[in-house]
Amino acid sequence: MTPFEIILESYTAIVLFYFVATSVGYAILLAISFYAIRDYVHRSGTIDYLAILQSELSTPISIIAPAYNESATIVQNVHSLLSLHYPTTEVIIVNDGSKDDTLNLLINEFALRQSHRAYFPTIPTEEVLGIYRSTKRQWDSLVVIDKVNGGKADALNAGINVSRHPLYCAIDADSVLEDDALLKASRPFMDDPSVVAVGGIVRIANNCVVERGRVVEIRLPRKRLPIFQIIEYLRAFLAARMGWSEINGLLIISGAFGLFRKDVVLACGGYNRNTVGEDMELVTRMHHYLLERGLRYRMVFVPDPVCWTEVPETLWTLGRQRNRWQRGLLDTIILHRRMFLIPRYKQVGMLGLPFFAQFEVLGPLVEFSGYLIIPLSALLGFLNLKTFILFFVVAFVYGVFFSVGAVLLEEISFRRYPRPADLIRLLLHALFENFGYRQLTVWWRVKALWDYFHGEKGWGAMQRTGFAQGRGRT
Amino acid sequence: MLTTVIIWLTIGFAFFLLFLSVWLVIRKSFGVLRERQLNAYRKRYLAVIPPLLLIDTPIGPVEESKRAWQTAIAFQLAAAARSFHTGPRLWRGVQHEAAQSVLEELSGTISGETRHRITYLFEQFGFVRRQIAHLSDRRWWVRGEAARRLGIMRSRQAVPALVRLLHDKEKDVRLSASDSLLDIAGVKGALSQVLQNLTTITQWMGVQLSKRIIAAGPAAISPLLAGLESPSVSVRRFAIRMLGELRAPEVIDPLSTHFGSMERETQILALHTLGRCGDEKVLDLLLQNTESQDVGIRIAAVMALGYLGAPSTVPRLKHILLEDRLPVGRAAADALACIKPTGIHALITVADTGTGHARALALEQLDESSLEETAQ
Repeated sequence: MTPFEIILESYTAIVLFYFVATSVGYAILLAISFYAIRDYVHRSGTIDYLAILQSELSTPISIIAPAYNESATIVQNVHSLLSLHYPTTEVIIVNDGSKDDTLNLLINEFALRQSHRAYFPTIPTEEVLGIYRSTKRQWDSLVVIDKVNGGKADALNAGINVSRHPLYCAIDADSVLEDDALLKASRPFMDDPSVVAVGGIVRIANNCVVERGRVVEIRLPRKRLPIFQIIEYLRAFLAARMGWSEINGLLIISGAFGLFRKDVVLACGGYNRNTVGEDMELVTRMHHYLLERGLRYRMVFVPDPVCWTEVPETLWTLGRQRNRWQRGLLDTIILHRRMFLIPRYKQVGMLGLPFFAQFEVLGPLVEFSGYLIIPLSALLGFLNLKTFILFFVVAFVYGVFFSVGAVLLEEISFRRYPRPADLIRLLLHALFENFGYRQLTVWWRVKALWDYFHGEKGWGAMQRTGFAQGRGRT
Repeated sequence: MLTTVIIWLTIGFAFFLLFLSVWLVIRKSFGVLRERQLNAYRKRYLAVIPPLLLIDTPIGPVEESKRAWQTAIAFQLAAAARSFHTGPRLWRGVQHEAAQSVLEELSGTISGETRHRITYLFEQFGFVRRQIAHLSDRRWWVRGEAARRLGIMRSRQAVPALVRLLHDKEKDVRLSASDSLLDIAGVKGALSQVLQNLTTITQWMGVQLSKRIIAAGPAAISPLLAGLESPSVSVRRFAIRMLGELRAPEVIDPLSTHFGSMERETQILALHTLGRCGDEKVLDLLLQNTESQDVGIRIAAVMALGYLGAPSTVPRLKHILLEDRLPVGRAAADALACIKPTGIHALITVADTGTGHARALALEQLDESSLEETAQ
């Protein structure tokens, strides 16, 4: 055997091991998610969420939405937040040093005036320039903080400092929550006092009909790129997070929609301003903090309360977003590397973090190297065509299985896409995402690793067209 | 050999995926058809059932009037029941579901004498019997759903089975059973039994039950007072909380007497309740607890003083605002804002002469008050 053949053999063995381990890991998650979702659907059948609306016993919630240059959507979205169904809420919009007229639009629309609301920087933040309240009774739960730009994490920290309620809901100012999202997401806190955080599902609103900040008709996007992302989101939320939640190993609660117990977040020191993955980092730090002290707690994913968001429709924007996500993931894993494989950190240290490191961080590298080595081997005459085709088909079938599995979970549970034609399109996209789209996402994630180790720390621009600009549809 | 196994496994798996996808599409298409059929049947029953409910009967004693109505509809009722078996076999279940959903919908919008008529129809169509049978199903969600639906049907036939369900091992089933019992027998008739039989009431269960209890008003006070004797801590806490919401003065004596022997969390709830009940005879107890070593107890006592609204407590609250820690100070500022006008005057003084967080909190409260006035 030549040295190259030995290297190739070793590489093949590593890839095979990796492939089998990934397949088994995700299949287990899918199976756990299946049972968990079935249980959730049964449970929600007997619940009267409207009872919360009429009860003084519900836990009040502060909704915190950081806004940076959101003038296109801010007014509609604040109206939408103010009309959410929940008995006691305050809506805190944090204008994080926007360069456009976000603040002025808010001041004019909601008759705001500067107030003497006390600001105690329990978590240090950039300077707060002013806190505004509305002079109109119908908007008396609205608080607007104007502060020097410090990034999303800093804005959320400022919101936490100002908030008055024991639970807070972090959401993106450009996302739309369903009317009953808070009712559904708050239930785990009221059912079990050991719950410290709850994540809801984020769904894709491109091409949905949006009126007055509400999604009134759900449709599949017309473009392929957002449909591929729908498959990805279903996989990530229904097939993966649901499973992690069941074993209390949930490491991500999306920054677009999550509820947290404020006292625990304060004890952990709030959001980390030095990472682009502040949502995942906070959740991992909460695990770290609570497990270190041996406290009993749960973090829960609830698959039903929906936050609608617009996803990128161009490859460039999507690439920037995925790059940021991957850097955030890597940053969190490196920051909390001390938890790795230490029994004291239970399922997070023994399962969650190693799983993410192996499959989400190293996975793209393994796959990418395959795309390089296979043509190289073919060129040098070392490629066993039969084995290659077999491996390719197995990998393809398995990839489709996981995507179809996610669509199956959606169909047995919430069935948000009403028409059979939608389902057929989803299934076809689950098939075709393996040709081109998957390879692109691998490339973006590999590039993100390169960027991370070469000092790229920025967020990258995200172009948003806005939900409601008089055209009714995004 | 291994390669052959992998090839066959892959082919099998691919076929499984194909089968799964086709099954999903067929299931979805059938679901759409079923939905259409359900709506069609619903329309049909919406035309048939409401007229049955609205048939006039001679004015007289309630029981006689009921019997007259039952006689008047007997023929149409039999015809309607027969119609469940006339459609295509495939849609029989859908027919039942449509009829039941129409009755449930009407049930939510109708009260008084007509309400009894709906219950009678539920019983006559066999829906009550079927749901009672489901209460013994081994799947908890079937039991829970049956309990919930029996609450909508309000048939007294279901009461014994629902009482047994208060000991179900699944808490959502216990909650559904409690809710339904309160719907069927009313708060006065069923709350004591619910509180006696439940071993825990989570905050979530409390939220669900509180709607009916608050709506019942003073009728709920006596069963709640009995709930104070429950061996379960969570049931006792729920009773205390609800009595506070109802502002029941009857709770003051039992709570004041047993305050010292309560656990911390119960003491906090008790302080809130005592404050809400608005009787100055608890003033000493509240003031005494503003000096507790426990921050949580101090906050609760200060807030209770705010609910009570006694002007004599203003100097003490002002002192707390100036001297105590931030969370207690914030509660004191909130409490002062509730005591008008002396509390507001104290806040103005602190805003003018105070320093640090006390001044910031006083300014915040005054700002809130001025915002309220502007809004008014």
